[in-house]
Amino acid sequence: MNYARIDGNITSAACHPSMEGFRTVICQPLDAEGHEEGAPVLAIDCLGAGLHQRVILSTDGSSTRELVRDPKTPLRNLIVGIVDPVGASHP
Amino acid sequence: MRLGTVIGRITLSQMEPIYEGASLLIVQPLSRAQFAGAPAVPLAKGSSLIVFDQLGAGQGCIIGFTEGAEATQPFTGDAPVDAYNACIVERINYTPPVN
Repeated sequence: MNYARIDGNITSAACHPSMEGFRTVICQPLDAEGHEEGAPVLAIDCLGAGLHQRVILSTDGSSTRELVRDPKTPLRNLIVGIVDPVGASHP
Repeated sequence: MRLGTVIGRITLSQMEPIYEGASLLIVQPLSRAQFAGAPAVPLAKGSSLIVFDQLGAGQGCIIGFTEGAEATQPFTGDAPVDAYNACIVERINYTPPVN
């Protein structure tokens, strides 16, 4: 699981059938101090994470396959939690 | 899943049966500046990769591709595929915080 920030979302003209109906967000991985680390990645979000919210990003494919109810989905990244800003050291 | 620009296409004269009817794209992953709308040329740093495509992405399209074990998930049984085109991107809404 990684710490990341929501920096936007994408819409698709065509996609794998398992992605239909799910929101795809752009996640910027962050280090422990909240600094950007590497290029943004995409993840499926079913928690409704808002722009610039800190989230926990899971890279476990099997839980994503369970969530989208398709054993043949190519998806892996999934938002599994929205980090509570209270008391956290956000830059 | 990462985003990349389709910069080319590969055709094969001999292939594994799983590649029949599909196309192979040469994809350059997007840099952070290109997420924000910078042009695809000059290409971002980092190596390009070959992506298995069943959606019909064309030259210049931005696609979302998965890598690793999940890239073989759409196939029945084992498949010699490292990267799979999961979506053709229509619009990127990218607004990183301004510091």
